[in-house]
Amino acid sequence: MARGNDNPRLGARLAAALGAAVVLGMAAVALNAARGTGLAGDGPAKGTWALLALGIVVVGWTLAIQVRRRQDRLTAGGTPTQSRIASLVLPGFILMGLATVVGVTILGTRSVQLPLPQPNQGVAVDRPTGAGRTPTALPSYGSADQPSSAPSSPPVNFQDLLIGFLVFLGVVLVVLLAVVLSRWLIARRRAGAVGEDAVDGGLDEDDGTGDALAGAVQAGRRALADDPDPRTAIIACYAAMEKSLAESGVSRRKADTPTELLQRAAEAGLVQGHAAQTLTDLFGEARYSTHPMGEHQRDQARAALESIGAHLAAAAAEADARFGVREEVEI
Amino acid sequence: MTATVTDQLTPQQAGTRAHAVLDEIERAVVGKRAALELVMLGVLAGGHVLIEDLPGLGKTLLARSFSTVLGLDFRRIQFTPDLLPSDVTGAPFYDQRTGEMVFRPGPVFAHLLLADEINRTPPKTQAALLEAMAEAQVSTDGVTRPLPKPFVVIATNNPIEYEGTYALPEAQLDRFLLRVRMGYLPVSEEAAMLRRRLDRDTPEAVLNTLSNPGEVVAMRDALERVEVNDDLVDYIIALVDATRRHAQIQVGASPRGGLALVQLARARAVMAGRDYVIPEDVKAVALPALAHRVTLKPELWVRRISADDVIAGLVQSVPTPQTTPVPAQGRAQGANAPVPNAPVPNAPVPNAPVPNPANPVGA
Repeated sequence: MARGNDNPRLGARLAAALGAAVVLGMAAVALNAARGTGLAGDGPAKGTWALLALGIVVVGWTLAIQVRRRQDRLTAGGTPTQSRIASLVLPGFILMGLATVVGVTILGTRSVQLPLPQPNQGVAVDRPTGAGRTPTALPSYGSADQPSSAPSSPPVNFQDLLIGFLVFLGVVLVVLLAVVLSRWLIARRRAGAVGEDAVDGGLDEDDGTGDALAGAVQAGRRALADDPDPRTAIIACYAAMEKSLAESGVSRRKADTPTELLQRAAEAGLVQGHAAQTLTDLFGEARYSTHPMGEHQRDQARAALESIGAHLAAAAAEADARFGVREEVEI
Repeated sequence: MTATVTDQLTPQQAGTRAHAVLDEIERAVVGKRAALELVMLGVLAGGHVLIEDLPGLGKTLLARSFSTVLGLDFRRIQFTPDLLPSDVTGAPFYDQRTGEMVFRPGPVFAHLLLADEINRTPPKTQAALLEAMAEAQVSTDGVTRPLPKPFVVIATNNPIEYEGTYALPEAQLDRFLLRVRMGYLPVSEEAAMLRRRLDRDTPEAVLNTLSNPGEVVAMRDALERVEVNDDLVDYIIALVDATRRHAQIQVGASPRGGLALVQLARARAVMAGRDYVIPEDVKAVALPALAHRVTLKPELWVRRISADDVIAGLVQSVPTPQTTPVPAQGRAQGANAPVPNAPVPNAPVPNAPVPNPANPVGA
């Protein structure tokens, strides 16, 4: 049953929270890896990089949540493109925070002294002829630094660093895949909520949907038949149609007008013809006017509801035939 | 269409005549039905219209067509940097024959005033229109002179050429009932427009006059017979209040914005032949009625977010009235409660049927 509209961003937030947890763990792994590579030099962030990284993650995460909330408010009614762009803000923040953490870890703690080759290598590059250059310049630089730095800072193990970096890249790829997959699933759910698949899939998944449809239409019939006031009866009848649409996968959003709900239902193939429009118009008059509502309007509403119920029953029967649902549905 | 002066029109009659007027105007202004309807809503609601868009999209043609078809006295002011307030309102001059100061009315004394490129004149001259637009009168030399009824200002504003322009002050923007954007024609309709031009001998289509000032006033009066349900009043208030609470809006819509929403929604109901407003009416006019009344936070220009975007998002987030009416005791808790989907067959209806539909609730 596709009911993604009720809480459309819950999945995205859960995915984001999961991604953030993975990223935090990954950052810790990366930091540990960096510690093992002997990068703890005498850079400006020496000794405080862990605190700095934590601060960046916390601030970045807070900012991401704030931006996300603003984007939620801003793009509530945006186009799909705007929604897609807005959905990239949070992963973008996470990646930027991650890049900052890694950058600070690797570069901020690094010694200003460049890792130098062994003195012997320096000697080896000297030209045998010694013409034009001073062969003692490089060895003397290396030999002057090497004795002082060697005891405190072991040489960089580039193999470990490379492995750590590859692990880091792998985790980033996994996180990205998870984010993309979750967003694809959410988008699919949203599309399904208004698409033909939602009706079919919903009926296939939930054997009780047909009963719910039948119940909603029956409720409308009862309201039309029993309520002495045509106005109240028509409103209840429309509410029954609304509920039956919700059971079919097109639920009313809080900012929807009846026409917008009808449009979405029509796009989903749930309603056809003028019946639903007639019922919506009657509902508008009953709900928002003080006109006296007569019996002929009650009859119009009844006819419209019958037509809608027949169409929904046909759709349910078609879904049954397609997906093999055994239960008989009578609306 | 007869152009007789009608004392009283029902909303349905007013809507029929308004559509006939639009059909006639559409012969000249091709493919702009939505913009034409918005301008007509402004005229029906008794307000002034700001048309904001690029040059060459037919803004001036639209204003002239409205005056012609509605049978209104038309004046045009081309706003320039050296225009003086007295050039707009009129000024007294010395009559040598009588030896007295005689007031010579300015172009503002017309039914329909086209203020072309209103942002090209300094605020002093723009402000000369303030009293005329708000009070439909002009005060000069201690004498207040009423303007003819109906009085409609259709102002055009070019949003791209900022050099040598003076942005409209918020006080004046607020006095426009709605802002309309024309937009480019779709390619197919632009081709149709060119084809129509080639098919006729004159540069512009000659329009017929279908109405007169008296009928326009009667059409406006028909709005007063359109009722507005209490839940819709709450919805309108929620929309206006949301503009004041929105994180990206520095200054929200004024109470005048709420009044504009009510009147425009009623006008839209008239255009649809109804004498009651439905949520679709409010939602449809919220953007043109509110977008020009809000001031966004200054940092938003970097993100290319316009007031239109913010209001559009806001309209999609403010809850519409519930399907079933809120019981009388529940109304005090506001209209923002969650919307139930379950039918309530026996829910009480706050508005009992009234035999006389010509008794508007929100009048």
